[in-house]
Amino acid sequence: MGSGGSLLSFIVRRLLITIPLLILISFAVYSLVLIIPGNPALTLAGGIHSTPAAVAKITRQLHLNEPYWRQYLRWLNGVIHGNLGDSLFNPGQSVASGIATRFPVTFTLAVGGMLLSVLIGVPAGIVAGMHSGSARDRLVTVGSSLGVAIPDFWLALLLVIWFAVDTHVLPALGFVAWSTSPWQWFEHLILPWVALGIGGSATIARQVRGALIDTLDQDYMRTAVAKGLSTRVVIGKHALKNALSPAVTIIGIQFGYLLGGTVIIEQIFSLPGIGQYVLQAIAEKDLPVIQGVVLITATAFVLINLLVDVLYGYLNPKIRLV
Amino acid sequence: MGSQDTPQNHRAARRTRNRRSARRGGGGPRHHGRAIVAGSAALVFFVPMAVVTLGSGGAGATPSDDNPNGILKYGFDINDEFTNFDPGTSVNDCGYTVMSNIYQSVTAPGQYSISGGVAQSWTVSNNSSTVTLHIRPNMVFSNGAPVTASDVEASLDNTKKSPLRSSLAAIENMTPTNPDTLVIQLKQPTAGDFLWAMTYIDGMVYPASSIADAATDPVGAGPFTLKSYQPGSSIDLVKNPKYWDSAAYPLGGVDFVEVGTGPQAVSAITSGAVDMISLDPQQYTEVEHNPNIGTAITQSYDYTVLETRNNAAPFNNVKVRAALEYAIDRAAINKVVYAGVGRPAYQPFPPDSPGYNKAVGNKYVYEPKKAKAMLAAAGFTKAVPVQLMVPSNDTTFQRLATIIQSEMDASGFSVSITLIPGADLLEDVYLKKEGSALLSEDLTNGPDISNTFEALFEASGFPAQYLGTEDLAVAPEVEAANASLSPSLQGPLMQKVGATVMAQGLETPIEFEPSIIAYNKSVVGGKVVAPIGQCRSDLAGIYVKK
Repeated sequence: MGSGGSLLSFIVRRLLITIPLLILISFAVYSLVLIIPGNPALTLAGGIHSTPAAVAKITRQLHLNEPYWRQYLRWLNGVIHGNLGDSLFNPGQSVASGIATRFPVTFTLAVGGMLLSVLIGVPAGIVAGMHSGSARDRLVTVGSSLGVAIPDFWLALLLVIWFAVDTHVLPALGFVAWSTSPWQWFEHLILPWVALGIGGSATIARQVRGALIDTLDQDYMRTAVAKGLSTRVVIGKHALKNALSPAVTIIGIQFGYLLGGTVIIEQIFSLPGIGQYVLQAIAEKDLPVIQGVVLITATAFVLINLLVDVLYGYLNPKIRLV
Repeated sequence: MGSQDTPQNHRAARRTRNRRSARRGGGGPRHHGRAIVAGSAALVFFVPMAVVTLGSGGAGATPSDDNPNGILKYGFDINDEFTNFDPGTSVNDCGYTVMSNIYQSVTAPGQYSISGGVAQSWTVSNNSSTVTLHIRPNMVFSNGAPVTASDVEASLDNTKKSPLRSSLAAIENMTPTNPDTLVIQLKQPTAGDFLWAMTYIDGMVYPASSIADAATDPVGAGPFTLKSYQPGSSIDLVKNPKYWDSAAYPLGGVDFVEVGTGPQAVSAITSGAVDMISLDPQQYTEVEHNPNIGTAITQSYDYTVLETRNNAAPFNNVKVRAALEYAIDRAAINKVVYAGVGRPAYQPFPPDSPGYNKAVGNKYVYEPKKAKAMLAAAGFTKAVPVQLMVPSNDTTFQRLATIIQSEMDASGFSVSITLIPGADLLEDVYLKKEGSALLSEDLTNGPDISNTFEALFEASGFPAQYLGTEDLAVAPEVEAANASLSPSLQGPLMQKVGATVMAQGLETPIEFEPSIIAYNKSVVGGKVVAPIGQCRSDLAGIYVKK
């Protein structure tokens, strides 16, 4: 990596590129939402009790009668001025406050799931990579294949049946705020974390195993062993640093995916996160909420990728951030 | 006239149901039918409560088990079925499940009668155009402020701004003549209809000073008050010690916990995540033999129905519609889809309703040969094509649709099923007129038994206009029935209308849906009663055991 100055310059450049990217994403989503069925004005006007006049009035109030590009610009103008708008179906509740309430839940879920993935996946990958062809390797390979193959929602349902319904060891659903009870907060998140983390750990284990086997096969590794360095130093200092570089990329992508992709897990465990929020918004065609959530998750995704790039450069000095 | 102000009547009427998602008010195919039509004087009558309660649990606990501070965990789909606490801006009728425990409405609902709420009694005069409410003496809000006629006026004025609360558009003016009396002048003689609507969100009462914050900080005169609200996760209520009938609610509080639809409800109750929850019939079979779970079933007036597009082929032909009544095997549907705990709907009213027509009885049983013969007599030599629109977010409806398709196909129809997202229904089925029939459901209107038919058969009704179900033959009787909630008036008229509905196939009732509550027997004590219909809860008389 270059000097501190060039790193800073790299980060600034990436952030600047992010702005048009986010605008593009938001415009694409805005356009896509137009094809979602339903008319919020009709529902807000009373559904089967509505009158054409009431529907027309609400349509005007919501600016739904305007061309969509004008609606989009109106929204964009609000965003530039720090206003994500209000939910159509919950008057007075700003999208920002809705996201602020729910994002921490999703973030906690994603961080926990990711942490579990790393804690299981990295050691498993190292063990398998160090003992390639052994029984331990085969165990990790079979296990990781299962982990990748099992859908997280199915695993979640199994976990609920085993640990909540049958044995009552852990709660089946719900969320308790940390401020209310740290233990209950932890208890309620164990099953969602496991359901989310297993698949990720399998991917990471496979990635680390493959990279480690490749690295260990390099000449400089043989040299290190020939020099009489301990296994701990050979693996820990030389091999892992190279072997983990691709894993970091995977972890970054997985984390970004988790931030926006915990919808089903949130539904199964009744967790009040972003996924649940946006799912309901899509069903109702609550455009400001959909746009706000997409903007926030896209921003988070971009920032995570930026962090990954920085970390990648640190782990692999051959990569120059230019 | 006055009200029968008994605690028992307050127990009768609430329940939530988790089956449908995206249940914004008026957003689906259901007909609450609180349109502004008719009504009358009089209104409180006593019909023996024929609520059928079955169950594996029961009220075995003694009061000595009562934990006065016990908090009941109640499963409810907060994310899909709750908007906020303001009756004036809430756009989800299922929010009533929670809100009815915070607010006291003007009147209180029951399956067969209404009773006193904020209004201890009322009089109706001026040919059913004037309602005079007599506020319950010494009633206070949870903040200690007295409930006055001016508060009722301010509440109705605020709630009126919601297009969903159409009953309030019937108000011409309101005059508080003194702190305990409010005179409401209606635009039309619709007192009966109005008083039924007053049992609902339309009639919730709150202090004028709390309106600005009602969405997040509700103040009511109901049995509980809001302790905390975590959007999409939980709504925690605590006992309101100032409630006028506090003894009727022994619970220390109730936590409404987010539980989604479908199998999640069963997991929630069997794992102990919640103490009580409403279930679909399909889910009932999964808990009915569980020794730890008690169940209570109330036979509601809610019914699933096949609505036909009567102003377009093939159902613009009365003979085709009449044949359809014989093309549905209601008994089989009750057994297969509703686990045998509902009741086949051979006519729009069940046997315990004043509208039940004994002469019609169970005449319209499944007779595919007869249906075919009727279609042939009507000139249809080939199968009659029907595009059946089915809400896609409802597994019960989807199972039902498959069975109906097979039964109708055997009866001379050729049914194609189109699944349609809930958000699409109003626009596509009603406004764009897609499909020739719609699988829908009508929700209970308690003693106002003619109410559903207002929307269906009177010219002003939304489905009447778009499905072409307006019917000049029955509309006058529906209107006349709306002159009073009295069964002696509504009963005979609705019996007549019911016979016409079936003879002409104006709609095809399928099943009276059971209202089912499951509860943890080791936690919940007292007499558990399932509410009279969907989107309601009934927490009176139950407690959490020590």
